Amino acid sequence: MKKKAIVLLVSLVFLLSFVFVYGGGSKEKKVSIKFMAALYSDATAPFWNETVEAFEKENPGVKVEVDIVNWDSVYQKTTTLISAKQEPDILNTDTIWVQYADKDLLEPLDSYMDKNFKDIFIPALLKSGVYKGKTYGLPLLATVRGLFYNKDVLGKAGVEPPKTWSDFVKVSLAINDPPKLYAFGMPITNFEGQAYISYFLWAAGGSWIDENGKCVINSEAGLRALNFAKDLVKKYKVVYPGWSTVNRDDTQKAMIAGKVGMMMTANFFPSIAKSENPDLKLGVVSIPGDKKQYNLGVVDSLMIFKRSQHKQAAFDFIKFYYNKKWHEKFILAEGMLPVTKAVSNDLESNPGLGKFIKMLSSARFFPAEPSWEPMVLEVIKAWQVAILGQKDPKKALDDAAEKINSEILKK
Amino acid sequence: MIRLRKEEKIAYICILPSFILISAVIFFPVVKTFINAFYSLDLYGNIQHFSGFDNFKRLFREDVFLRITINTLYWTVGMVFITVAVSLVLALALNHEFIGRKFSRIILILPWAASVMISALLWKWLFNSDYGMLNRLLRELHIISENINWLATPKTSFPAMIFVGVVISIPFTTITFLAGLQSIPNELYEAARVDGANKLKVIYKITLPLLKNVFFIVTTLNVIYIFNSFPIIWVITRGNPASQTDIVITYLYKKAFLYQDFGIASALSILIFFLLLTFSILYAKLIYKRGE
Amino acid sequence: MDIRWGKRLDLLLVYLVVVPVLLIILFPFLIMIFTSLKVSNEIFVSPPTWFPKKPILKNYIDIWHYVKLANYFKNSGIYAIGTTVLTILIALPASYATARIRFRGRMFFLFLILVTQMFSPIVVIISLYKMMAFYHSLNTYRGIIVTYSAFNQAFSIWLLTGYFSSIPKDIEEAAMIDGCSRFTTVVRILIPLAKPGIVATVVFVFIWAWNEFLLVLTFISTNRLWSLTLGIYGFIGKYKVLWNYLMAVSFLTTIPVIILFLLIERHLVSGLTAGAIK
Repeated sequence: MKKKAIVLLVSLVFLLSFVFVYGGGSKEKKVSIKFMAALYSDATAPFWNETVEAFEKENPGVKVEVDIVNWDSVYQKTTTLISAKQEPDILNTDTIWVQYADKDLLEPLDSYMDKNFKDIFIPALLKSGVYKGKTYGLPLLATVRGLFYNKDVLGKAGVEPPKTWSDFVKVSLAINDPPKLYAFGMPITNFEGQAYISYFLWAAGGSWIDENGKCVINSEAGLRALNFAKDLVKKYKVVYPGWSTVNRDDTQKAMIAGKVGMMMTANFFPSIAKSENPDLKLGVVSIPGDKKQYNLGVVDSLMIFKRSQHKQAAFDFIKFYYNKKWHEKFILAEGMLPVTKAVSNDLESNPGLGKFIKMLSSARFFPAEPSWEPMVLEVIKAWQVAILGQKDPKKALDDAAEKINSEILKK
Repeated sequence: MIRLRKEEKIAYICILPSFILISAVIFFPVVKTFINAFYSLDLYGNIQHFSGFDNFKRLFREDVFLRITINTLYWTVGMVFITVAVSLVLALALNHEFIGRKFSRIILILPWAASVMISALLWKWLFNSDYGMLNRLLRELHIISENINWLATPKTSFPAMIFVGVVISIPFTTITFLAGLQSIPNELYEAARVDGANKLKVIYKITLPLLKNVFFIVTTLNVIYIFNSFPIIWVITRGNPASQTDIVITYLYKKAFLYQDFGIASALSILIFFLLLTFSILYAKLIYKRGE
Repeated sequence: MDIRWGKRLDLLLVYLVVVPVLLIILFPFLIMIFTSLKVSNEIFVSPPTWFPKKPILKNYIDIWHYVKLANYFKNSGIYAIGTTVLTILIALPASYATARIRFRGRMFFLFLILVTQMFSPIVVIISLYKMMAFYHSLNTYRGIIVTYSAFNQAFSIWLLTGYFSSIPKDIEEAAMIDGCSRFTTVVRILIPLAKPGIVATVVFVFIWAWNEFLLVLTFISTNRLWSLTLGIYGFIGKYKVLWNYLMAVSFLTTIPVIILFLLIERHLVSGLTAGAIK
């Protein structure tokens, strides 16, 4: 009986080691490329599956494996893959590509693109994927941010949507009626707080980084931007409470529920609002500035890793996506903005997208900075403590800039 | 002497599979983390060069370090204390015969049956001031007259998250207590009853001492799990504003995957390890003061 | 008279404890179920509604088309059952040894186990991933099952050791004097006595594996091998959460756990009490 026990245990050990050591990598003769795509909506997976199927039919020697990752996990997953030298061939991500380019992980795509191919893009969007003179990221899609307002609320108060900061304060005070309605939703959290900070910073004429690559968030304009945001909260009391914890998506919900009069967000907002509250009438204008209005554009990109064994095949797949048929299909399914001229022209008169396509043409983009993400997190923290009144605004910005310049940007 | 040797052999064979499994899967990464803490690491966690205590120094210089330490203590002690207290009382109650007992036990496991991320998402939504069900419920019960914005400031959001954690931790804790209660032979109770001891005295003199082992396991495991519990805070406030609702583990995730500062993240892991270890040893000593 | 009053008072106390706690627990689940029956534009209204105006089952039908739900159920089942079986098989002998045999290195072994629990997977995920790549175990069932089992060893061994220790040695010793071998004694006598402990461990490990997210996210890339927890995230887009679908899937996901619990609850109740009286 005892022997039985020993046999059982020993076989267990063997089973375990067998399971572990036995390699399972199937050897395929086909060229196989891995594509890590980010999840935008429930339409994302079906779209890529269909596109891959069509691509594989046209290119029988190539197999594309699509791995769709939720946005919340994209950074974690990519970092892990890079760390283990297991990068996919193609990656779909946001501005963090600059860091990968800076670390020499990405393949420059210029030599793959002829003039005809370069020509299909809206030039500003193609340019947003350039770092140190080389193209690393191709735009997958774009969004544009504007100031959305509740038409009924502004109409009832008899005010026009604001164009400048002083307008903005006037309109806010006119419609503010807490706790029933707060004039302005201003989510400055570490979930896309950089967009909100940019709205104020750029409006004040400031910028994140100067031409020498130094963080200048504490410039005079930067301080003015922060003080303006702080006044909205503390002095005018027009901001939806919880601005420092309730993120953009939840502030959107508050606006949809009629609790917030105005907020800055992206072009996909109306379609969400429509599905949840069909009675809400939304208007949109460019983001009010201290002196002039502007728009913020955000591009998500496709890139090829240097370690890829099948760069040409990977590029062919990317190229396939830009066929008018597929790009347009994706854009419409996701409610995003196109990056090619052909699709833009096609959708110019689209009632939902046309207006935003126009806004995108004059949009400003986030700077291409390898340490963008950590820098942004520091600045968000500084803005939060300053507006909460836990630290003097000037000191908060100076400290953040000092930390960024000495510890983050030098990396 | 010889018999002991033989027994030992059996023991070693018995623990071998477990030992191999743990060493193969967990031990190597853990040792790696230890080593990493003393090296300068690149953005993807690969070793650059030896840097001594540099990572630790940088960690202690972090402006929010004190805040997240206090938060973590508050989070862990508060949640474990409430969870264990509620679960113990609940388990004692559920050990009684009453109508609906079986049904109650099924409901009890619900928060455990759903993934923590989903529960956290759901609660975040329930806490919302305008379209969240909690405010509506409390208004209908006339507990509040105006909507409360639960997640607006750390003062309310942090306790709210502890509440969520307690609800999620109760099932496991209660079930374990229940199983422990059932391993107490009925004769002991009957004997006590014959002796004329009242209910409270029975609980105090018989039940609780016999639950010591379970109590120790439940508390230790809860401390470790709750200390390391990530999804609730990540989903509900993500540490906002300015890390004022971060605990060590959420901060560690941020440092590793948003800041990509793996040096600080490794140093922080080592710190967590020693904290939990100290706690476990002290706690074990406290519980087993009078020998085993 | 006295006794009856005492019993009633006990019962009242029991209800006073049980009912409020259960109501709190039930609250989010009711909302989950109600939401899963709502059409999408009824979900975000202020003030929110309790019950769907006209309940629909459409969400429960739609989700099977939106994502490969059946496949995710299958994968989650394989991960969870595989993990549970492997974990128990490995943890049982180890716990028996630590509970019953005083061997050199026993404390070290228990310490080692405890140590592994003190590192959240978040901490070691990158090293783990590299190791899995080295073992060619990325994107495999076995990679997930073996890793899950390793992370569950500590809990299982601690719990089982605790149970084994709480069982009096006399019964076993009597059996061994009667001529039963150690192995038979353990299988025939000790394990049946430890049933509540084993059952609790099974429940715990199964639920843990069923709901795990971080490891499966990191080790599994192909959609074919996604678990339910990964599949659920298909409803959380970058800009929009499909609440009605999310709630419907979440509810469906809890059902297997509830069934497991129903099947096992009986043992959890009877278990040792019955065994000890005999």
